[in-house]
Amino acid sequence: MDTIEPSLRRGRARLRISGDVWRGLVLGVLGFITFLPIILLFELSFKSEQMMAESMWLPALPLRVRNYYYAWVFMARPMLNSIVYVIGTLVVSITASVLSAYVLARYSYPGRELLFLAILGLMMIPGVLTLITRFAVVLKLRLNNTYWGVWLPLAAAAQAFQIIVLRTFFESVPEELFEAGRLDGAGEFRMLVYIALPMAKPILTTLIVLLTDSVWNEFIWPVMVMSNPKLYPTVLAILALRDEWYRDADTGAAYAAYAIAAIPMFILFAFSSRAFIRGLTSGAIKM
Amino acid sequence: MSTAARRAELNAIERVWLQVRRRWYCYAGMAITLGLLITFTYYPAFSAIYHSFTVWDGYRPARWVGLANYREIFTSPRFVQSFTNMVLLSGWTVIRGISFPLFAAALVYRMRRESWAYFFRLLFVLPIVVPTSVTVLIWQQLLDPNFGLFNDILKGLGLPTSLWLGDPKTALGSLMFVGFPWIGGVSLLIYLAGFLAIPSEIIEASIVDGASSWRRFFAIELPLILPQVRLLVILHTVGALQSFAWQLLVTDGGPMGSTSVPAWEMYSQAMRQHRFGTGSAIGVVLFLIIFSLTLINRTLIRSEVEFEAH
Repeated sequence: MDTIEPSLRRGRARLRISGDVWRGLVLGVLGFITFLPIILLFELSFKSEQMMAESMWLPALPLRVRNYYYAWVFMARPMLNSIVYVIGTLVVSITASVLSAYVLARYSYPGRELLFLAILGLMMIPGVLTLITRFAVVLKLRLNNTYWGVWLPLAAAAQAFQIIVLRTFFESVPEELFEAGRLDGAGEFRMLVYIALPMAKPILTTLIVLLTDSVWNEFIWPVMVMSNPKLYPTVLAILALRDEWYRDADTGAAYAAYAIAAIPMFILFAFSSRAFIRGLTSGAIKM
Repeated sequence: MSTAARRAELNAIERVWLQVRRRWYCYAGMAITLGLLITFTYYPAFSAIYHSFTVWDGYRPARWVGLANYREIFTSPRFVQSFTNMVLLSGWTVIRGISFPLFAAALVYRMRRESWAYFFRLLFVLPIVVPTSVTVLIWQQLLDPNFGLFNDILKGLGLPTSLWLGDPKTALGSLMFVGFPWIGGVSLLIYLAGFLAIPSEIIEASIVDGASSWRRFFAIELPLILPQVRLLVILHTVGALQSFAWQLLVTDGGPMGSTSVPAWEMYSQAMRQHRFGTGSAIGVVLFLIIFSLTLINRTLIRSEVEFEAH
């Protein structure tokens, strides 16, 4: 073994480099094509109508930064709306799921198993079954064209996944920590806030990042419940822009608006790529 | 029943009631969740099943019509075509959704240089943060018959151009092409996690045995990441059957129903024509399809685990 090892390693070392180069080439080409639409979007967002008429897709100078100013005037309000939708949904959803997961994990009480089954059972109900009757419920409750009409249904949709993840986490917190808290005279609620929550910070970050991304990108539900343009979130505003600016023909500014709509999630990703990636692969938990 | 037994029963009820009262804060803790779930998930689910047997505008009282909605769904050419489209579209979505990311993940996994592997992983994950609606709008522009990139390239090469989404013959194919080269970031991440969980001794042993890279992939790695493949089959199937973003944002299911799918028909029946009954029935049919496909996939997973135990 000792005699084979060094030569084997040297042989592989040579293979490694050439192998990495062709792998890098294939992946580089695929990556470039994957990114091409995004690159083209940013390119178009700096062009004027005139430049597009001459050649739609080729880059042209000078960069028309003014597009972004026009787009921003239009996008500021929808961006603010989107932030309100995200924060409201986060508050409702995370509060509800933390409380539920905590009592499910820590206490035994009559009906606990049944209640947990009712939450697990949600996994078998696809959104498509409930979409239009949920809309009918929102109409009945007169929540259409209100912030609540977005906050509550989107928070409800995130409950099952969040509770299952959080319950598993709270169950793993050692009982001794709570015993110590109890000896210090802490009440049940204080123990949640001062012992369990600080420990859950990483998993909460993941859940928050994931929900932020999904609320920001959600467009089917807002299309259904929002008819007042003043309440449009970002992704609805750019759709309105597409239809409006097709006629008014300031296409460059429309592309700048698309780019602006994508930027906040890029920033979120830059600051929390680890939580982001952990959350995306945790789709496996959904099994 | 004897008095003793009745008393025992009463005591049992009393005991439970006492426990309920002592643990009142547990129920209080779950109150928001339960309120949300009953209002926005469980009630709508039962409401959809009930109303699938009615004629209903979503607001005024519904009228019971038995199986009429289902009969319409399975006989009207419009809905039958949308189901055919769904089979083609989601079949292709699942195939491309498991194969292309697998190819890319295998290449990233074989990268010997950590920094390169890290770079390419990031490169393929990054597009996830672009909102679906933005992606749809860009691709719509690329496919535009007058100003689109594809027709510009075809013209430059002196080839005949196409109407892409504007022609019933090419519309569905154009939708299938969207997203090329179809390397989904989430799928890639799930595969990579699977690859990295393979014990390194197994890989080392195969290298010592002189197995070629291809053989190593098909004989060792692929069998070991089958759970990931199955997971992605479920995620892509469930996602594909429910999605109608392109229909809502661009095609309206047209031209001439060529890009329509049942999920879109459900939406447009309810939201455009106020036919919530028919919409609900389509939703129930989709639910049954998704439910049975998930069950089939689960039994397959279970048998796999038993097989491994031998």
